[in-house]
Amino acid sequence: MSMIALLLGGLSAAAVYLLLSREKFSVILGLALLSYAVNGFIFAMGRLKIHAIPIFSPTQIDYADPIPPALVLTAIVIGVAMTALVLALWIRAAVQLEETE
Amino acid sequence: MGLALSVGVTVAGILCLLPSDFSNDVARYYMANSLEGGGGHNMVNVIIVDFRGFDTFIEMTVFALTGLILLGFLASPPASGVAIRKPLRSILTQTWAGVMSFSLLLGAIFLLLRGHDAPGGGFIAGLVVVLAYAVQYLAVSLPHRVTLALDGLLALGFMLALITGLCAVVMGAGFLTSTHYRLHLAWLGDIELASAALFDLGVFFVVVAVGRIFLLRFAAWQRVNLTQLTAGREE
Repeated sequence: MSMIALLLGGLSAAAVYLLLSREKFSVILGLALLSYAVNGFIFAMGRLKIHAIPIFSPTQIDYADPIPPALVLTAIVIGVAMTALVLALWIRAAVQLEETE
Repeated sequence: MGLALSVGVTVAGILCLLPSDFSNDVARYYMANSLEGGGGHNMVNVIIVDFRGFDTFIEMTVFALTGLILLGFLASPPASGVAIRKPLRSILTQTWAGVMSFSLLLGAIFLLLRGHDAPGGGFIAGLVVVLAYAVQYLAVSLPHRVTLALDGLLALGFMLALITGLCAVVMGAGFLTSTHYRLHLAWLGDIELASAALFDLGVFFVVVAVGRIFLLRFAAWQRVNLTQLTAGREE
């Protein structure tokens, strides 16, 4: 758990650092990293258990909380869509500015 | 820098200080009901396509809209631009790309079919199909060969999910209410059929179509040397 905490802490620190940057592409990268960090955070909120997958089987006793994975699965897709949209906006804006000059 | 570090330390601190023993009523409800109510062994998949089916439907709409917006935004790459990468021509890569993408497609079908009972499902299967496209693209530079012939897939997947949801309304239940029954076949044994699996198939088509749009649109625009463009502006 502390290893995961360290990893997600580092990820979110990097994300915020990139978000505050002046480069536009770094801001997009920071946004993507932040969405990964938040997804990992939500996933870890369901408590990480070993040998407790949320899939029914007769031999299994303990189950993990199925809600955080379901939430995160939705959030990942939205995060990807958002990153792609911002990236497209950036490309479009760069080309448009070049053409108007 | 200081702000970023403090955010990181806060996140890590919260995660370290979580009490490890935790169970809640909502999780217990899903655990008790997903086998009888949703007809699937995979609780996460049952939540996504069945209990919270409406959320997934809206999410699919967001994803499909992003694909459509990208189609409009990145419609035609400007003719002037520096080509960054020449298409790779290697017989070894092309042969292996064929084998790889074929096995990836098979794996995607496998993941799609087992999604309700084991790890898998529409989203991950869709992403695996997009991966097969990516492999093909790396080997034979796909965007110049395949045009927009497959983008009706987006509409098809969306309509499939919508019609699955509306069937439940026609039969007198709420939107996206799912049903399932156990089918007994002679040699294959018991097969659990769930209407939520059809919804999952719709999600699969949408993810394939939108992922393909992302891949091909960004690939078509990679000829534009953006770093040069923006560097020229900011100086």
